[in-house]
Amino acid sequence: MANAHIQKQSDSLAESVRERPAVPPRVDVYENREEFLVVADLPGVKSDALSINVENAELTLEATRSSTAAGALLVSEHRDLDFRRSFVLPQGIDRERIDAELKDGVLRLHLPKSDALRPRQIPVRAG
Amino acid sequence: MFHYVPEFDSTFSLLNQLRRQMDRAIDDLDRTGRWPAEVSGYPAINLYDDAARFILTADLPGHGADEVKVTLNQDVLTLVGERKNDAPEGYSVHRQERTPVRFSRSLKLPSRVDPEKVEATLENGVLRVSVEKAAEVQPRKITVRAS
Repeated sequence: MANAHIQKQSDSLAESVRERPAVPPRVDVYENREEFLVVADLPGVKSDALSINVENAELTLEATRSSTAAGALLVSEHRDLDFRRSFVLPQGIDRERIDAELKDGVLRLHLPKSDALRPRQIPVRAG
Repeated sequence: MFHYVPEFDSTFSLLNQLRRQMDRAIDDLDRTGRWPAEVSGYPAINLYDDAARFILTADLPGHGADEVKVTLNQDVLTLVGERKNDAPEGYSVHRQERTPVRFSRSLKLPSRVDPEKVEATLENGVLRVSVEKAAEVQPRKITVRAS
């Protein structure tokens, strides 16, 4: 009896591990004096299904898109999948001030440069 | 003298299956950004049949609701729209994979629909159009009576 129960549980475990392909999202990378800006297309991703991690010098985006399933599938061009992409951060990013906003399925990730890295104009004094 | 050879038929269905798989693999490449966007239709769509309705979903990240036009003509659903270059001003570009797009895609629905009962929403960059089937093709439940 107990065995049967365990069997059943492991079956349901096997069921819950679905095969979800992970694809890299399309991104744009911009830079100005103050920051780097990463813009990524993440259709179908809600903000609570997105995680951004910085480890050592690597920044990783991971997102799970919510299923659009609604009945029998007649045409299938987009699938339930995960988005994953990693970037190597350049030196001099102020990690404490990294900021992300997700709107209309587009992520905007602001990576501010630390003060030391910002270009500075050195005034020349007449001697 | 002549025999019907069923294996012959299944060879072609296997080939057909292979062709579909190849198409899908190419589509996947397309969506991962390693292939020009023109190869397959934009946006990527799914179409569902939930008995009473057809539900179309389309990936349109970064498109505002006012930039997407959905029209229904008889049983043909058309999506028209554009995403302009949204590069921020005053930034230099390191990488640009999210190219501006302009699209028009039409899809013939598999059965007649009720043009009065169409709804479209755009949420998290995914468009969802729900079209109710015409009354005559709605599934009908037949009660079985015990005699």
